[in-house]
This record gives sequence, C-alpha cells and structure tokens, in this order.
Amino acid sequence: MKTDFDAIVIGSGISGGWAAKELTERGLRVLLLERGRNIEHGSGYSNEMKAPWEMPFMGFNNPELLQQDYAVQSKGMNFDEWSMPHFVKDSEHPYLTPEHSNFQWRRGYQLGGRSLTWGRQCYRWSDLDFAANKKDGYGIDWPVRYQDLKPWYDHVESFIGINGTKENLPQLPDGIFQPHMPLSAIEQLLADRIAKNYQDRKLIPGRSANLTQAKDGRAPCQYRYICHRGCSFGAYFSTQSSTLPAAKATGRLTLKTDVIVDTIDHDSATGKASHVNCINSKTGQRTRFSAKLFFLNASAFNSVGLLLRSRSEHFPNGLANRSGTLGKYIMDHAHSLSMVASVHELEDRSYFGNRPSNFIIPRFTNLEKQQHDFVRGYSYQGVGFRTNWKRGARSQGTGQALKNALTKQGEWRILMVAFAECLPQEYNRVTLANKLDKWGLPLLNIDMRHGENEEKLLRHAQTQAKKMLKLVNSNVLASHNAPEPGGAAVHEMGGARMGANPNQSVVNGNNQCHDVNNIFITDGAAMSSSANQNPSLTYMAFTARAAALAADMVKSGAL
Amino acid sequence: MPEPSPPTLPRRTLLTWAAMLPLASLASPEHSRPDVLFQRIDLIAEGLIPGAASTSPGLQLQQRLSTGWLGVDLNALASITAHFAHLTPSTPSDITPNALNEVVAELDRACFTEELGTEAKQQWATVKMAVLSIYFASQQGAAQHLRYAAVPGRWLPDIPQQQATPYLSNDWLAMWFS
Repeated sequence: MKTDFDAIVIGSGISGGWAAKELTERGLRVLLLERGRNIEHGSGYSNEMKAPWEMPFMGFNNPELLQQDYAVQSKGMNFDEWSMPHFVKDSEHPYLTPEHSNFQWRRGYQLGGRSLTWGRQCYRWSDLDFAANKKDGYGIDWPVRYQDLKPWYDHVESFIGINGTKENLPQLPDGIFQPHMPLSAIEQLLADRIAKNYQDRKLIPGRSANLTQAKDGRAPCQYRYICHRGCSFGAYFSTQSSTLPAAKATGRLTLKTDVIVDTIDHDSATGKASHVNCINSKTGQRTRFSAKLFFLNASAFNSVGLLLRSRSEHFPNGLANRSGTLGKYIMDHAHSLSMVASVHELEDRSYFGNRPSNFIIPRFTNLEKQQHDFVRGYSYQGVGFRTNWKRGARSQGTGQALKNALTKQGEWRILMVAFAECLPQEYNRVTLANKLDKWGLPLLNIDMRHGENEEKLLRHAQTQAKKMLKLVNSNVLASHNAPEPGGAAVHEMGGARMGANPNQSVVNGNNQCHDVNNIFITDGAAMSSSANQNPSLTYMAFTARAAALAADMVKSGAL
Repeated sequence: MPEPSPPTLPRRTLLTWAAMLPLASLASPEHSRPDVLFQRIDLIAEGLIPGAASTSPGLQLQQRLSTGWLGVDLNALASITAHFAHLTPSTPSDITPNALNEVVAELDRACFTEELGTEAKQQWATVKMAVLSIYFASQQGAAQHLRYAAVPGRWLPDIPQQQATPYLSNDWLAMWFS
C-alpha cells in the first residue's frame, strides 16, 4: 500500500533526532513532526552571545513574568533569562498534578526539544541496572541486557562525541570517549582524599556530550557553559548540531514544525497504525499523514498521552494498551542537594574558563550484594568552584575596601547532588484529565511521588556526603535529604514500559509495541526502571537499535 | 566644606530612635518623592562601591520595581533611604564623597548588627545585593572591574589565584551557587 512516507517520527528532541537520522540513513523517507517552532542552528539562538548588560533584566529575570508564565519551568536548572525562549510557557501548556505530587514537568516545545537545554551527562547502564527489577522484584524484568545495547552505545557515542575517562567500573561501563575535561583543583583534592580513604568509591570527571576535539564540522567546546542558550559552535550534542544535519544530508527527510499530533489511527483490518492526525499549532488546521512505520519520541509523557488519546473500538483504553499498563510506572530520579560546603584549602589556587560538566561519584551501594535497608543505589554529581561578588552582600563591608576585596574570588565551595534510583510503582501514573488545552486535547494528569526507598537512599547519600567532605577542611553550609518533587531531575520516564510479556508491558525488547507492531516507542516512556544514571544516552542507544530493526522490517516488507 | 567627624554616640542614638520609628513615618516622604528616593539609591550605591552610581542603580530599579526585580520593593527602598537620610549630616544631595563613605559604612554596620532592627537588616541585605548585582552585571563592573570573556576558549583547572584575579564575571557556577 502506498503511504505518504515510509516512517513518521513524532518529536524532534534527543531520541526523535536519532530516529530521523537512523531511518533516513537506512533509506527510508521520513517525516519528522515537531509540535513547536523552528529554531535554526546558530541563527536561531537569539540570546546566545548577549552579555548581561544587553539583557532586559541584566540576566536576573523578570519575576513577574516568571510567576505569570514560567512558574514551573523557571524553577529548573538551565532556565535563565537567556534560555527562557527554549522553555514552554506554563500558562500556555498547563497540566494537572495532585497536591501530594506537585510534579514539575519541564518542557521545551521547539525544534530540538530539550536537546537544546539538557544537562548533557551521558552514562551507560550496566547489568546491575538491567537486572535490578528481576533481582528485587520491583517492576518487571527488562528483556534486554547490557550486551544487547553495548554496540548501540558504541554507535551513539562515536557519533555524538562524549568526553570522559575510562575507569573500568563494572557498574558504570566505559564508553568511547574524547579526552576528558579535567577536575578543578579542589575537585582533584577531594578525589585524592576519597581514593586514599575509601576502597568502594571513586570521584571521577563527568562524562558529557561536549566535544573536546572537533568532529564532523562541529567545533570543540569553548568553555562558556552557556549551552542551554544554544551553541552555534555545535560543541554540544543537540538535534540541531548533530542528528538533524545528518538526516537532512540524506535528502530523505521532510521536517514540519508547529504540528501537534492529536491521534494515531489504527487499521483494525491490518492490525497496524496507518495515519497520524495533526493540528497546526498556529492555525488550528488539521492534516493527516500516512506511513508504514511510526516512531514515538514526543518525550515520555507526551508519547503516553498520544497513545491514551488514540482510542478506538479495538483499543478503548488507549492504543497499544491491551496490557492496561499504559501510563503506569512512571519515574523520575529522586534527587537532593546532599551537601554544599565551603572548603578552606588550596586558597592560592583557582581555575579559568567554564567547564560545562561536573564530577561524578558513581554508585557504590548494593553492588555485589544487598548491604543496606534499601534496594538499589544512587550516585553524586557535583562541582567545585570559588565564590564571586555575591558574598559581598552577605557580610559587612563598603567602599573601596569592598570593591578591592570583590576583585578576588572568595572561598572554594563544593556542591554534591545525589541522584537516587526511583522504583517503578503502579500508583505513579499519567492519565488524561477532563480539562482540555487550547487545541481541544485533554490535559495530562501527572501523579507521581517518591516513596520510602527513595527517601532512604537520599538519607544515606546525605550521611555519606558529610563523611566524604570531612576529608577536606570544610564547613557545611547546607545539607538536605528530602527528595525534590518528581520531575525536578528532568528525567521523567516510564508509562509505556518494556517487557517480554504483552500482558504486562507496552513494548517488547525492540521498543516495538506488542499490540501494534509498526509503532516503536523509543523515548523515556519505554523505560522499565530508572537506574541512577542520566538516561538520555540510553534512550539514544535504544532508538538507534530499534530504528535499525524497523528499517530492515520495512525494506523486507515485514511492515 | 569641613569633613564630618566619624559616627559617634549621638549618631548611634539617632539610629536607635530611627529603629523605633514606625516604618510608615520613615517611608511616607520617600514614597511621595520617588525621584529623591532613587537619587538616594545612587548615592548609597556610590558609597557601597565607588563608581557604582555611574551604572544608574536608582534608575534601573525604578524602571523594574513593579516586577519585584532582584527582590526589591518600595518599602525596602524607602526604609533604607530614610535611614540613610537620618544618618547624613547635611542634605544628602550635598554630601561629600568622604562623608558619603562614612555614612554608608555606618548604615551597613548598623543594619548588619541589627541596631536598626531585623527588618532593616533584611531590607539592607536585599538593597545591597541589588546594588552589587546591577554593578557587576553592568559593562563597567563585569568587563572593566572584573573580566568578561564571552568565549574563554579553554579550561585551565588549576592555576595560581593571582592569575585568576580579577576573575571572570561570567563564571556561571559562581553566579548560580555563590
């Protein structure tokens, strides 16, 4: 049967860009749909080069505007006056969340999605993670293991460029790395003290998708650390800098922005998805496109929402939802600022430049055996830096003496944030609300809260952070152990989980819907557990793997 | 014009009285003369950081006051400028640079030691942070007093501190977490 396209990819963020790249490079004619506006690489980054004094609020934001339009977005990392255009207006894109949840849904509706504003930390999962559900019984077993994904991690890392160090840690497999970004002096001091005092843990440079060497027309990092404004050097991985140019180069990509996918039609005669029904977000005009293959990459909860909206006689509870699990088992890392401390060593040392990365202390709990009264583990990500002029407002001092003092940096500080694994729980779920958005689509109701295990993990993380920071001459300035609200880590995932059993899961081990085999879900929705690592690299690897399989199936006529 | 003597007991007594005054009595003349209020903010800024008045902190705050920018509100400005006026030995607009330095130093001391009450301490901390913010985000403060490198181009993880002085005003970690 002739279709408008071979494949339709819904969403142009981190995983959608990968789907478009892989499918076009494998010979398919692909339509890439993005609900937000177009942002051109380079010229579209409107605030990238502006200095504070060139900004309307000098870089300190307009609080009235934030309260009115960005009440949720503005609380997240990487949101500032410069990057504000890369986040949705909460006032225009509402969602519902019960009071006990207070889920923080951070979004970027534009070409490239959150690939423009992500944190860029990239970590492989290990079999400690893929076997965790089976081992302790939370969630369902992943039908894949590390060896299934390893070649695809290699494939993705080789293309996007990740800097890091090889550490030979079983719980955090090494990858294909560009030269790393070294630790600052104070971070190295802490790393050395930890190495001297602990056998079970290690402080290492973060692994981030920022180039340290030029690659495929992209320049190396310029150490500005303003990635979230967009980087016209192309030095960090985003759809615009990396996957979209590759997809466009094939000549087989059609890109449409400002197009919201309302529903997917299911043909009960063939058992396959046939069309997407779309709304132009600006004009309201409706259009329809057909394809042999559909990739859902709209971000975890939007992909789930699309399937929940796509009801039919055959799927009264949402497309591909015979299992009844669609929307359930959503997760986000439980994270907390374990410790901020001032450090009174190396006072004659400093640094130059802005390293767009951090250090990490990989997971060290429950590795080989169950050691604690909680399951699974956490890792820390942190930074060491010296304070600036802001300290001048918090203590007595005026005049030339203050001016002179503020010409020098202040004390060193080390900050450690714990990212704890979130268990998949059925009660954490996304449903459709009765209220509609301005396009007539049901709002999402996001009900997700962290549980006792996450709280125990973060309490343990706080205690361990205190112990480690005692290895340097430090004073604790702040320390927390309560998880931030769900969504605050911006690692929301689950809702269309992967599993071998069609009665318990939405997609199979190839990210292919059990019930509708020409729909692939390769964004965070397909995750069956959260591990403690940042998940985007794993989404990319799953996407590349699924796209290879799907393209073969289209070419062989199986789809 | 002779320079005023350093703050002595009578000025401290005045401070105590000022702390006892209802805020409204301090605030109303300032509320009714916003031009005076914002001019006095410029004076206070100059006493805090010599050169800061040229970044027009009064005007910057005036233009954005209704938004709650930098956490500053009219009450805080009125209260702090009123305390400043009470401490000033002459008409504030006629104050000499040396006297200005002394008065702002005294205001700073009195606020931090809570001689003027806890509310004044909080208000002063907000106004002081606002003045510093405006100055260090201005071209003068960020790029001339400190260093502004739009494209640092390299990461040097361990250098002597003197090489990092003046430091980068666009050290974003320091901006976010200091």
